[in-house]
Amino acid sequence: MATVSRVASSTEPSAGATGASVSSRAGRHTLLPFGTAAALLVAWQVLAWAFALPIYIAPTPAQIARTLVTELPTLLRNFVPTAAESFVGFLLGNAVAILVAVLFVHSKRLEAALYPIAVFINTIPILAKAPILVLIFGLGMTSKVVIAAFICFFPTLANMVRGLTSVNPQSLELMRVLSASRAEVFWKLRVPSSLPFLFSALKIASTTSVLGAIVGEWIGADLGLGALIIEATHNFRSPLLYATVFVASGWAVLFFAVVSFAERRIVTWKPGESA
Amino acid sequence: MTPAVKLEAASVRFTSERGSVTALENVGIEIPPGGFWSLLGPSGCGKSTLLRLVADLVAPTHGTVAVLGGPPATARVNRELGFVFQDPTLLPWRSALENVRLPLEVGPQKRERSAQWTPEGLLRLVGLAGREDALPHELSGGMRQRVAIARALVSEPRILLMDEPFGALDEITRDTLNEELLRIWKQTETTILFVTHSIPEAVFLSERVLVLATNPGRVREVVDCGLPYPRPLSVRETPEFIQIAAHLRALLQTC
Repeated sequence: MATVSRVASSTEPSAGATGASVSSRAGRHTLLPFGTAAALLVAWQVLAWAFALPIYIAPTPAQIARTLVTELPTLLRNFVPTAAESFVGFLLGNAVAILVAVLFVHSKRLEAALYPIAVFINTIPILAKAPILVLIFGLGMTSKVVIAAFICFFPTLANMVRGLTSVNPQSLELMRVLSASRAEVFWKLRVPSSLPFLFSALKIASTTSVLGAIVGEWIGADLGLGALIIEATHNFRSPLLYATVFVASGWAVLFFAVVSFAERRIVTWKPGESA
Repeated sequence: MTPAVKLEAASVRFTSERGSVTALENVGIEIPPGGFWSLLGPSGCGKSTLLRLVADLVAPTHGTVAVLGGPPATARVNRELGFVFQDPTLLPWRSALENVRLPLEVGPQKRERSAQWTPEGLLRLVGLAGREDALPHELSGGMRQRVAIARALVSEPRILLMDEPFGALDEITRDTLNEELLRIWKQTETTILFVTHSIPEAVFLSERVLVLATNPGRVREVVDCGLPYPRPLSVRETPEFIQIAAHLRALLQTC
């Protein structure tokens, strides 16, 4: 969750991000964050006027909105690679994390050998990892996909290992009384038990994968929202910068909302409750 | 006739880093098929351990355990054992009906099923008709335990092991389930081993009460209840009932 609010606050005041997470908690408060967002935008507009702030320091919401329309072709052209990189990175990182978690659960020795390494790699900041990965995988989309995958990998691995192992011990005794095989215990007990844990990780990954793709594009890319952010900043095109950031966080929020929707459809029971 | 459960000089020692504990010492009992026996005793007397011995969840350190004339593992693999835990231990993502079906989906299956007890029929038997699709968190504690009983019966076991199944329920629900359990026992002709802390529950349900003493866990006495079946709840106000209960209470004070 921390990541979501960070993405939102560092880019565009409130709007979608908070709206999505609040509405997932209580449907009847859905409209409240939109009201807050509108109020903040108005205040921003008024303050920018009152202090006559130059456009390159702080463009007004109206100027940003205008840019969103006039620069739409540019924004879309740059949005497509970022969306693709983050989406493929999300799939790749989580798939590998789930696979490794399953291996860890089946082999304690493998877990002992590899888990500390995974923790160590995770401690390297993404800004330090990204240039290395760009050197290895080149300036194309591959390096961004790999960076996005890396950023998704660890939270999902940690959550999945916990989810697969945090099975109610009495349920395991029940399976033993039923003479269930290891495979049956895995599919009928461990996998469903892990789903709530998996979805908390996927929700984190849905927003961090976008972050990963953008960071990758900062290091070096011709196209992509990350590249557009760098370009707009260097050219003092502040309205375009803000508009780009708006598109990036909008995509992250949409991604998050889709994962949350899937979670609500799949995890219909109350997690953590062993009835 | 082969006894349903036979223990000969069975002992269980648990060894950990902090030393070893004798959970059960030199237990010898013989339970006839179709019997209803309760295991009564203070905490730590090995009631649950005795149940787990029969269920093949624990192995004896000394002595032998025979279930239906063979090793407990054979009875387990042949699906002759049903186990009801103190917690219902339902899978929270499965509906009531799907929970009852679980034993038919995992493990080796019996070659012949008498078709007498379908999952739907068992839910009806435990009074949950109409709640088949409810998820466990939508059911009350008593209802969940009924689902657990239906699940234990679905593979048509010849022995039903119940480890304080009604311990966490309120008294009214407990009385209802006690009556229903006797009805189910008569209908299914299953051998039942029932662990409880409650003297009235043990006397009301069982043909015999196995009183266990603690430190180390051992058999103190086997008390014959001798009350005729069917037993209405009012049997608990009869002098015979009160006498047996008083005898058990006096026994427990010496355990």
